[in-house]
Amino acid sequence: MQTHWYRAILAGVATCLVAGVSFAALSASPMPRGWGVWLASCLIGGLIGFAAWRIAAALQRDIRRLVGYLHTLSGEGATLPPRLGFGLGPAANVAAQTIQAMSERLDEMTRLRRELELRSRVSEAERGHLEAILNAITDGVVVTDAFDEVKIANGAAAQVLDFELQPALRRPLDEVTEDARLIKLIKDTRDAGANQRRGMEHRVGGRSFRVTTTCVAGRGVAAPGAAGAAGVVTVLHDVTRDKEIAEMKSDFVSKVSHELRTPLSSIKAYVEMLIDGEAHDEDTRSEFYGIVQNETDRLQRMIDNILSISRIESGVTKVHREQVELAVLVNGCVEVVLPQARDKGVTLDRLVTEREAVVFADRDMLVQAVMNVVSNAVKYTPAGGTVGLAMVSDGPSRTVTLSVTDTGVGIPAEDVPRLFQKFYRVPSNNTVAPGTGLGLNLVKHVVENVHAGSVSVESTVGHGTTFKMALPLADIPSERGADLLARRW
Amino acid sequence: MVTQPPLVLVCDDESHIVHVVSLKLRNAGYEVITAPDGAEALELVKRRLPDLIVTDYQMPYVSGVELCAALREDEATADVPAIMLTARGFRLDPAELHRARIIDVVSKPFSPREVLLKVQAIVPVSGGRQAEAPSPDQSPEAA
Repeated sequence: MQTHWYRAILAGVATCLVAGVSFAALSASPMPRGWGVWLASCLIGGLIGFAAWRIAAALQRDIRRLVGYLHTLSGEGATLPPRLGFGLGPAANVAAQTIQAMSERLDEMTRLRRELELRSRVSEAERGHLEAILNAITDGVVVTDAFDEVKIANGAAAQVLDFELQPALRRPLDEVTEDARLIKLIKDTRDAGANQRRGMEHRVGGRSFRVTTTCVAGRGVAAPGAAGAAGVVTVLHDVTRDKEIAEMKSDFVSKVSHELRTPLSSIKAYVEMLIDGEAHDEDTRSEFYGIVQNETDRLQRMIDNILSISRIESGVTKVHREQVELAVLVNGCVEVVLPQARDKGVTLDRLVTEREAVVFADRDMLVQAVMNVVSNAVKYTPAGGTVGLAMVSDGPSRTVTLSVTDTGVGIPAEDVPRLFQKFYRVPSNNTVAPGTGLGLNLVKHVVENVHAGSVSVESTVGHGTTFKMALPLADIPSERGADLLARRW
Repeated sequence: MVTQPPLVLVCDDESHIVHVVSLKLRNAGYEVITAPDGAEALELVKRRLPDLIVTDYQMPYVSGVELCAALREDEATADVPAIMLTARGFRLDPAELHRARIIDVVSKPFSPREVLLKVQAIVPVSGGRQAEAPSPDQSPEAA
């Protein structure tokens, strides 16, 4: 194409030369001189006009190409710059190459920008992930930098130290919390230098915390005096419940020790009295032997109950569930207690109304629970009184309730809420009958914790007490149910 | 003038402990009155002033320390010494014991012999009280 324009220019030059020769010939000819001049002027003007038109066209084309190229640079798909021709020439090509270099740099920067955006998004996601992890931790976590400004904290820390999470970040620690002991611990840890750890027991808002601070090393700027310290990680572990459990254990051991010492005191004292010959006749000696035997039994019961309760509470007890005909089980318990009731002059009424009730239960545990309730009723009922047992099933709730009602001394209303506590004995009834204060606690554990049932008590002082044990009924095969229905208690 | 044996009040909510301590002291020549709790002991002391009190620490209504502290508030009973029986596994506060004028502490399980020795050290049988004549309404087994 370019060759074509060179030919055109050459043709123009040739035309000029022909015109010049013709003009010279005419000058020598007899033609009038004015005509020759006019003709030459026309030819030259035409040539100049033609050349100007061609140049303008070339310029216009190159500019269009450049504009088109710049336009593509601003969007997608910019490729090599266009090859420019006659119009703008070498200077325009240099400009185009410069633009090309700029375009390449622009592309590089665009790539870097995208990479940074990607990294930023990844970083944001990681931070969000880290925050989610921190917020999932139940311990309070506060991370401060070398200048004691809060960098990261979790929701638990915000709750414990009573600050708003987001506004607290990047703020000085002493603006976030006024807890002077905590601030001092964090600063001391930071001053101690990298990898140093401190700790303290601390109470915040009525709760106990084990606070651990660790100075972390890092590439961050260290504050003056903080050798290599990038900051401090503070963890607040709530030990309130641990302390309560420890106190409860200590209290339990103390009470167990006290309760075990009481029958042991009697045994030791009476044995010593026998050895020292303080019992002067056979009746007194027999009385002492009897007391020693009874107190030994009491001690054994107490130890058995303590172990049973302890095993149930700790969850290590093995529960052997089976289908238990409750009426048969209760009948067995009544048979055991009957001699004691007869001796005391207490009548046992079996007011059972449900003979077919079957529960899916641990037989031995349930016997222990029912025995405790029935023997308690006999113990706290004076001679001439009655202890009545009844069972009622409730279809909709699929439960069976065993009620043990006595006409005994009753329980004052203020003692009822504490009745099932370990070692609690009703003070006004303490002298009515011996006890360990563990039986009803065991009943509650067996019925409620092991068998998902419920225990309740209603009592009137001087009139008597009713204990109710509700247990879930077992789903038994119909044949078994029919068989049980045929049985009589 | 009749020399009466020293009067000891034994107070414990465990009837066996009351029984065994009372028997040991009676066999040794002491006169013994008993109470099943601190509240009843306070009532009893108003009727008969003992030479010594042997009381349990942990009792319903009124504890042994509360009983002794209450006795110190009344001029008539302020000087009655006391020995405490306790089944608690830790030492009692000495200041509290001093305030309540509890002279000695015996840990359960205890030896009746040991209790007797401590009682004899505080109130010997030979040092019994002097009295004109026993009052007809004074019962040695008031509780």
